[in-house]
Amino acid sequence: MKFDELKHYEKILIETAELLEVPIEHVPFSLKKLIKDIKQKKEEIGALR
Amino acid sequence: MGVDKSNVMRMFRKNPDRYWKVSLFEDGWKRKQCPKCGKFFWTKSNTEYCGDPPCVEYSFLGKPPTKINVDYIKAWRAIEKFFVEHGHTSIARYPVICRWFPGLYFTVASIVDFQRSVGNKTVFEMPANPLIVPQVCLRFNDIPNIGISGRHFSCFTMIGQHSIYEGNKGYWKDRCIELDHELLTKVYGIPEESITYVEDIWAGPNAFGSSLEYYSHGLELGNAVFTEFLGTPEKFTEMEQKVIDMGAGLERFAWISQGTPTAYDAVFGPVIEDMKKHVDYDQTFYLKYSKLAGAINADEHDLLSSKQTIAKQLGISVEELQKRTAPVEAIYTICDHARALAFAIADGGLPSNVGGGYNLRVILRRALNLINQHSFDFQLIDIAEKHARYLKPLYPSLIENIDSIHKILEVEEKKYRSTLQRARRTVRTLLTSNQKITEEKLVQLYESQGITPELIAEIAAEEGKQFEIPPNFYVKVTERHMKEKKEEEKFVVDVSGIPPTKKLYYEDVKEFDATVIAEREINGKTWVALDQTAFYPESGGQEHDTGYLNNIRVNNVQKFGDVILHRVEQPVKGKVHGKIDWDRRTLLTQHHTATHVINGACRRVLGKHVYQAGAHKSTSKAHLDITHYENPSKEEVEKIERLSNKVIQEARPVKRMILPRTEAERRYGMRLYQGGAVPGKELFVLDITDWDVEACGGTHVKNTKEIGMITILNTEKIQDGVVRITFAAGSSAEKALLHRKELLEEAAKILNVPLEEVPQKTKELIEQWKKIKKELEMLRKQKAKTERLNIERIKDYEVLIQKFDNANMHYLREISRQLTSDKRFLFLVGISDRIYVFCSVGSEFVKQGINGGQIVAELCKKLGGGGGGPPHKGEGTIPIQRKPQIEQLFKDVKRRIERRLIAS
Repeated sequence: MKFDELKHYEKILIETAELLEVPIEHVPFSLKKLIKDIKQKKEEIGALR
Repeated sequence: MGVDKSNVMRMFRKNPDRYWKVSLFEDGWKRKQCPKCGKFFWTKSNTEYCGDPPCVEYSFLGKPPTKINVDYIKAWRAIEKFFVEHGHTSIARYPVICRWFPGLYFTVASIVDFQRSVGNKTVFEMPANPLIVPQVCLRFNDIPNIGISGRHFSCFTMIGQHSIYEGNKGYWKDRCIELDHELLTKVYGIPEESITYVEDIWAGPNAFGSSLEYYSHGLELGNAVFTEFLGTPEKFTEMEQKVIDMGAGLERFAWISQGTPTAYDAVFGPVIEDMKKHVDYDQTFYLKYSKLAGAINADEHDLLSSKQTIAKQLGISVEELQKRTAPVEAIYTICDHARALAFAIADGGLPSNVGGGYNLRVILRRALNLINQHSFDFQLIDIAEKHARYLKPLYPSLIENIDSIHKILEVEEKKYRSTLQRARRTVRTLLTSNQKITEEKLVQLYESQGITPELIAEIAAEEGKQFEIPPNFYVKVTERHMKEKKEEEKFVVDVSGIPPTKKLYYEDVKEFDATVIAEREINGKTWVALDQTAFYPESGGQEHDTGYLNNIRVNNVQKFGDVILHRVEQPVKGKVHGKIDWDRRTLLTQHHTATHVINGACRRVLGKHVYQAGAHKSTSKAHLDITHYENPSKEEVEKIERLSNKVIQEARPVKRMILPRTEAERRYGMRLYQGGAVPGKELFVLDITDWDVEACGGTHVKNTKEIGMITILNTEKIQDGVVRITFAAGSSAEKALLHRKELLEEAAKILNVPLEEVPQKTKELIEQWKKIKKELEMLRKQKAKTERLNIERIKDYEVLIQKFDNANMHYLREISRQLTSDKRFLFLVGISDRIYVFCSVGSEFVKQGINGGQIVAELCKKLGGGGGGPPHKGEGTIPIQRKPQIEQLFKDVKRRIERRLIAS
């Protein structure tokens, strides 16, 4: 794969890491955690209502 | 242990003619002993005194004894012309940041220019013999005197007159003093009878010799040191190459020729004249004052008492004297500090909180403080620029680097301003608490918050409190950071008796034949030395090669002096066939040349102040540490990377040369020493055509194209003034980028979107999470308010021990937030996916010895869970299966509380 193409994907990953405020290595884990947390919070809202 | 100076003096005084008498003194000069200080000196007049203050006073102020009146630049031009006419080569100054000699941060004397480390010895290597150099030096041991004594500087030019005498080359004492005397009398026209030569000695760690200091009208003009013996006075040999180290202050020559009240007036020229417009300066008064102030030495005397004496002599009060001199002293100090900073930054120094950079920050903050304190209407940056313009004919590098000087001073000033407000609050609190501000406390305030003693004095005055600045404060703090640069520690192995190893690793040798010539056992491992090797030993931040000797694995290679040792997994003897792990070597080589490429790119993108501060090259990645004041921006990093890859695409030739050190320095300058001091008489020089030249002994590609590609993986500020750039080159760069793409693919799979949409989807999720979180918090609050609570009273206290269904820790915390008070004890249990335990202990309960953290820890542990916390709050969880035991848990808690409260 070409350098420029790889750099393009790296840029997207860095942007995501910055949004999540985590190092790039933690992006997948952090996303999983975020989705899980949203789910749990939704359940708790349901229970509280 | 150095040579005992008193022994040298005793030895020389037994035969003064042998050591101090030079041919000039044959012409009617007499040796006398000063009745005031006891020193011996040579004079042609009837004077009884040595000429060194305080034995005599300044007698040139207002009436210069010279036939020429020269400013700073012309003062040098006259000296340069004279010495060049008398066979000397005039060389350009060396940087004030000393990177070529271990143990020094700054160039502190002109002789340092030529000191080199070869093996464990210090040798002198001069590019010409004899020579002269206008060497700018930085010294921080006189800070309290700067601006006050009229003659002390943190930055000064040492006129270096150097000769290495070998009988047929160079010259020795007679010629040296003859020339210096002619310079004083014929070029400057100083009357011969006003000159004295004072006998002294110089003694270093393992060498010594005589010296003659020369004075006129109470001013020391120069000091010629003649190093001629190796060893100690008890056991010594005469050196084959004797060294003349004559150092004279250019500042003094300009001063004596102008006879101005202080050296600052003569040296700083138009810069100080402009600054004087900001103060009430009375030259007639200052002439009178300076004659007396010349004797001030804040290191030895209390500044205030010195001023009291001077005030008395001038017939005015000390308050009046302070009022008239303090603002003028402040502008002299600021002017000196601005000049020192301009030179340091132009030569790649950065103010910081470590090493030599610490001293630069000390003078920078001192100068900013003085500007603040006197409400001067000028900027430090402007003063530095005025110096650069004034000194352009002599030191053009200042104006060439003015952008870096501007940027760095601006960044530093911003940092200073942002700490100032906080610092003021801290000082006010400290002063109103009436605590004694010890010297130790002062250092701590300075180092942790940048609070200078001047700032404390200023606020103390505003508060009507007494505070005196310790005279030696700055000497102490700067000395703490001037301890020798620590050399990297490496384990020591005795390789005596092993012949030097022939190095084949610069010739791209993948396989080779050799003979094992020695074996060493180090920490239970076997190391062997070969007659020749292609294995590169760990050095210059590049990791060592690995491979095989016959079929035995080589897993470490180190260099000890000229001997290279190989760590082998099994003993190996006799003839061997060596094989290098070539893939590993290729990656290390690519990373090493890439480091040089990036270094060149950093200087072009970030500024000329950038120097290498360290580096490490492994196979998967490498890092380059550079001197820079802040973490580079995303755009700057992109530029550095783009420029580096452009250099790779341009396929620039990479030349490796072995040059005599003096030749290499002459050709490429002192920027060669990016990686610090390099021992040896010859230098390996790596030249990436029109891009970067450095002294480097690593392995390198022959053409930048061979690097393949560079990707910068990360940048971070690793210490004040040092930024680490982590990158990968060659196939490791591709691997690193592919790994990042895989991470992105994993993220896209989790989100179930295409790669391009990952950030947008993430943004949406974060927004959703924030919204839900807010809603949940609101719901918890509402629900918590409606809970029916069974609060019990025990004596004067309230106790709540209660269970809540469908509640997690967040909910328990919310209830606690609404109920906590000093006289309440809450033990809350929430039942959901597990059992949550929360304990809040009011301060009145804590006083009774009730510890919430401990209670939770013990009870949760008992039920197979865990928890803890401080006395006022405990949190823990218990497996949900233990739900039936909760009632028993409540009984336990209640019993504990009742027992404690009833007992109280």
